[in-house]
Amino acid sequence: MLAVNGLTKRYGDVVALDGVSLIAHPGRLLGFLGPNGSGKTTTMRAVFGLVRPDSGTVRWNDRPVDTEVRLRFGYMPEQRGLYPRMPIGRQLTFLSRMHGVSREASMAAARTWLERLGLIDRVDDQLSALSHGNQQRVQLASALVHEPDLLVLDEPFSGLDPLGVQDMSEILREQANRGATVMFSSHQLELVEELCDDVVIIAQGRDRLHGTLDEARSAATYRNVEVRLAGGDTFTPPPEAQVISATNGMTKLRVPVATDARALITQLPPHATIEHLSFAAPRLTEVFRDVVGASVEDLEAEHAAEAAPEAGA
Amino acid sequence: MIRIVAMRELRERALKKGYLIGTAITVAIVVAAIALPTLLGSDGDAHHRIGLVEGHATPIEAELNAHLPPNHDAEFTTFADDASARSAVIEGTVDAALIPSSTLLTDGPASLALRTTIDRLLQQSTLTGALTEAGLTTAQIQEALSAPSPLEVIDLSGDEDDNPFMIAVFATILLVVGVQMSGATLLSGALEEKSSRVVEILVSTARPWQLLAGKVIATSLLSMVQLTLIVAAVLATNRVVDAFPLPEATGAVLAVSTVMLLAGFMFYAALFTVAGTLASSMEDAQSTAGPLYFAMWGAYAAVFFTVLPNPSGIIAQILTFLPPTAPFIVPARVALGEIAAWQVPASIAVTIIGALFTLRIAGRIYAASLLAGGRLTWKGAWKAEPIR
Repeated sequence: MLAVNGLTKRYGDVVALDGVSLIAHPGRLLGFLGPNGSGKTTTMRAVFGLVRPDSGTVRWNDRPVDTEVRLRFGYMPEQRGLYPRMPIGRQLTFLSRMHGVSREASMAAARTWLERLGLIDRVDDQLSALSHGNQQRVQLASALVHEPDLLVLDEPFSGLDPLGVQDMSEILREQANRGATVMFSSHQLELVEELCDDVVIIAQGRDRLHGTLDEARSAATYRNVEVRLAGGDTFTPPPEAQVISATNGMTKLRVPVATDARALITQLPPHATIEHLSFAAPRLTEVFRDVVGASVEDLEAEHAAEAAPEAGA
Repeated sequence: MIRIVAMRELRERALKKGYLIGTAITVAIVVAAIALPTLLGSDGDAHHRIGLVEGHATPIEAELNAHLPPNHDAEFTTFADDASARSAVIEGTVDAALIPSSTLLTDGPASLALRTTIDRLLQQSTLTGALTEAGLTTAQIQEALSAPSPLEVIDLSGDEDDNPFMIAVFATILLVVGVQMSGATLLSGALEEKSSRVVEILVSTARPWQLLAGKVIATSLLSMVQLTLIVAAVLATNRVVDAFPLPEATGAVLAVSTVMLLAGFMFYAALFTVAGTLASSMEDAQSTAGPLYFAMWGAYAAVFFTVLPNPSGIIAQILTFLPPTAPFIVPARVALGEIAAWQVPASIAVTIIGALFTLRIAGRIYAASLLAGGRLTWKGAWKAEPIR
């Protein structure tokens, strides 16, 4: 279990981290979600000792994280990169050995991963000779080749095509299933929402929300209701509901979380045929806006405007 | 960890075509530089074709080959008279002709070895004839003519001959070339790791000083191999063609150079690596490494302008104890024999301590600049917060 507790970090006048806490559990996928510039990369770097926090702790299985503990960690930084002119087989072997795995086991693991990625016949090719998509696969393999207990990936989905997103999701799920603790960051909340077991939402250097995906979704103070009646019948929404839109016969409402779904139905015209009715917790992007008070896009625009490069993403 | 980093560097660098071809070309140039002047020079003309005139009494054929220097030999052609021997020399069918009495015809300057040997043999033969006429026995004559022990020359002026000077220059050039080549390798290697961003993965497990140490050790080893090959090629070539006699100090120069090379390498290699991480492009790297090139070429110039002309002067003495200059200056002073015995170990100690100190400081700057985007100055990197 990875426990990050109360991390703070300032760069001059810029507050990068303002008391971030999170917990990642073995066998589960934790989505670390928030806009660019909210402190995700700084937090992840702090886990690897690449940023020295002003205060706060990072612990792994109730131990402080030191060099020896980190050998069992795997990291895919936001800024991807491997040796462009080193053959990929040797490259994976080298990175595995850097994590304290024996030479023989490292060579075997490198081959296993290249086979799995369909790149085994290119084992002696330089990284730069591979296509962009294949380079990204090797990059992922480089974080996994030593079978880490904790896997930390910074924006693993950025720049991937839909097929790549699917591959990546499968591999991350597999890693969690074998018992690894998996934590990844993303600023594209809707893209990764379904993949997460647990969610931590971060904004402006602080965690604003954490829990399971369902807990996070239900943290919003409203539910989304969609109603369509046969023949384009209209109805009068209950007074506590807020009408979001009403087009093509579909009425979208926002109702307070305490609203009883059955009571809502009784308010529809008694003889109308219901073609469509949904009553759902909002998507994570909406939860974000609700909890933080601004949208992901707003905060990213704000961050870009005051951009302090060293504050990290 | 350091070993794994060093092994990667060794493997990726040593097997690169650039290193192998570069080493081969350097060795070839050095061998050629030593061998060619000796083989092409007139004095090195080891095979003499000599014309003799029929009826000439001197038993020179047997004697000449026995008395020429080891790498010389002679073959003889006999001519009917002086005139035909003379035209053979002009046509070039023989290199020289010996005609009565005691005249050596040549086309161009005669080989010194050949001339002195023939001269001595003719004198001996004349002398032997005179002594036989005087009634001495063969044994008595042999004893009288047996060569005295070779003349020993002792130079009291204190002037050294050219060879130690050459060795000193050679040692300095080798060191400068070695540091320059591995410095460039480290510079671009560190820059590559930083610009390809692979370094963030590396420092997530290894500490920056371990990466630095691994790189410096590997590159120093590669350079040592290169320089050892060059020196071995020089000594082997010299043994074969006998281009120059090695002064007594050669062994000492090699030993001191080796130790100084290692210490000097650590000093410069650490700084070159840091210079690479300060830069964000190869053009940047040339300017972040500027102070290092300046120090290195400054030390090189100092050897030629102050140390060689005045190896015991005050400037040479001071430079002996400065880590950036000592590696270039001490081997030169040892070669010239112009250094007090205590100064050698003292200077080595100062250089090693300086190198270790530099490695430590370099480690800090390296750690601070690895993850920085863009270009940093030395001062900026020193002030920046090091990672781990």
